[in-house]
Amino acid sequence: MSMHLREVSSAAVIVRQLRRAYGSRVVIDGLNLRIERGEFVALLGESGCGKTTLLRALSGLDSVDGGTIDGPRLPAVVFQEPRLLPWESLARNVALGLPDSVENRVRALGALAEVGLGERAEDWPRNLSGGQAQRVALARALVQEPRLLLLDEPFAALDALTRIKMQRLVKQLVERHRPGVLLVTHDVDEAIALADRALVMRDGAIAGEYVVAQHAVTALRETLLAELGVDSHA
Amino acid sequence: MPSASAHRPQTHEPIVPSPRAVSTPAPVQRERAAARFSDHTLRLISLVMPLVVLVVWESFARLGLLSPQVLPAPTRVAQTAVSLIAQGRLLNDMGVSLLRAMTGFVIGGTLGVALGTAVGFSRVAEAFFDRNIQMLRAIPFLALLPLVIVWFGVGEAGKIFLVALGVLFPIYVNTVLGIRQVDPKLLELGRVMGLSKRTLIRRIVIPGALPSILTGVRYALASAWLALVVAETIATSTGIGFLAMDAREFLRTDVIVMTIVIYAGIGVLADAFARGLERRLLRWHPNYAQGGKR
Repeated sequence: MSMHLREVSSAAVIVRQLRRAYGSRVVIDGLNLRIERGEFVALLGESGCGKTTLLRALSGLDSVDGGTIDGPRLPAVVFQEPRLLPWESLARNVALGLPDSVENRVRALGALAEVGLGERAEDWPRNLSGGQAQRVALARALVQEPRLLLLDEPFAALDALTRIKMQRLVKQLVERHRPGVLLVTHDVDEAIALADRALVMRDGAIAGEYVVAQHAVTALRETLLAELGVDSHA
Repeated sequence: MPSASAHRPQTHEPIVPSPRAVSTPAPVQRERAAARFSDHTLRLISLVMPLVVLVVWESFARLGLLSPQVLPAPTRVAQTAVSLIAQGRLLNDMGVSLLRAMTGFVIGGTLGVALGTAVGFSRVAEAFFDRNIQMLRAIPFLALLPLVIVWFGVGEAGKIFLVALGVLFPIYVNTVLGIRQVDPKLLELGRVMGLSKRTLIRRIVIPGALPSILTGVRYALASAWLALVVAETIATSTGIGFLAMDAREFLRTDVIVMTIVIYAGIGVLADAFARGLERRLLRWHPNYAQGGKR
């Protein structure tokens, strides 16, 4: 974690031989990962495969036991829950990671407008629906102009229609801001719809890698489901 | 129960059961209307009753059934207040009492929030301070009164000290509790966003603990008031409590009753102030919200 990108590089993050153990239980072992700037990577895997641990290591919340992570010290993170501060206006919430200034307030208002909530800048978080709150969380992440954006199942708690709208919004915003994106998800269709590359994680390492554009959607869907232990002929 | 069974035959049962008849809202509405009417009446009664007590008290006093030594008439108490204000004594003594209460409150409150924040936030601070504070908290602070008089005499410092002590503990306890209850997911967010410790405390920890801290403030106000009354009554030469003690010497029951009313009045105002503070500072909170937007 001590190494950060200093040289000009096209990579948003480079992970080499990452290892993380809790006591004798090895959760991540020899994991390698490279995400380019502007690249959208989906990370699939069954529960307990180490996805969350990887995400926590990348976001700087947990330390690692071995290997290196070359990437920004503070990537932007969107969690499964919006995690808005209920006592601050939407504009203040979006500007949370920025120093207080008029310029940053204008940036926050711009980011709110980008997610379609420009009119609600002075509203309280409690007046928002789940989807709207998650859009604010997205604005808070993107206003930092992150080199790396980590999405931890950000659509899981949303209803089906809101989820589709959010997915489209995320795709559109990522194309405009071009951070490297790592999306952790359980949803194969979501991975195919959004990602340039889908990774399957198993036993603490990357077990499969699929460039989405090189596969037919239906076949890729079956393959990924099979990788995740869902037998289509059952 | 007998009245309920007596009512039952009166309720209208449709003879021919039809969906319409079953869903007829008429009986329900009549019951609701009755309930609303009686609610109004009850409210009216609750507002009128204190006046009735005052009137009865006044008439008993006027009829000579109540000795002025025991309980002077309300109008007499009011007259006393007016004449004491005219003499320039009452407002002066009230000012002195309020200043004591506020000074003690600010000192005790600041200490309580500072210590509470430190202990709630840092395990090191907890190890250093918490057990001692809990031990001091076990003392009913009014039991310290003789000691306070020995230390400070009858001057201002002793009273302010006692008020501060009464304020410190409720605010300390509720601040620690509030900080412990701050959503760990928001603290994690703060770390992911790279907030400095200072910013984390200012924007996440303190606001998150605020509902609990303000509960502490309301307890503290009651506690401060009690401390003030006791301190002023026993060792003093100015203030409302002194007024009451001085009046006791001359059997001026009217003045004593007036001071009691003043204490009660200021207590009510202090509580209203604390509730106003909650409504203002917690307007983001669903439980305190009035209307949707700010």
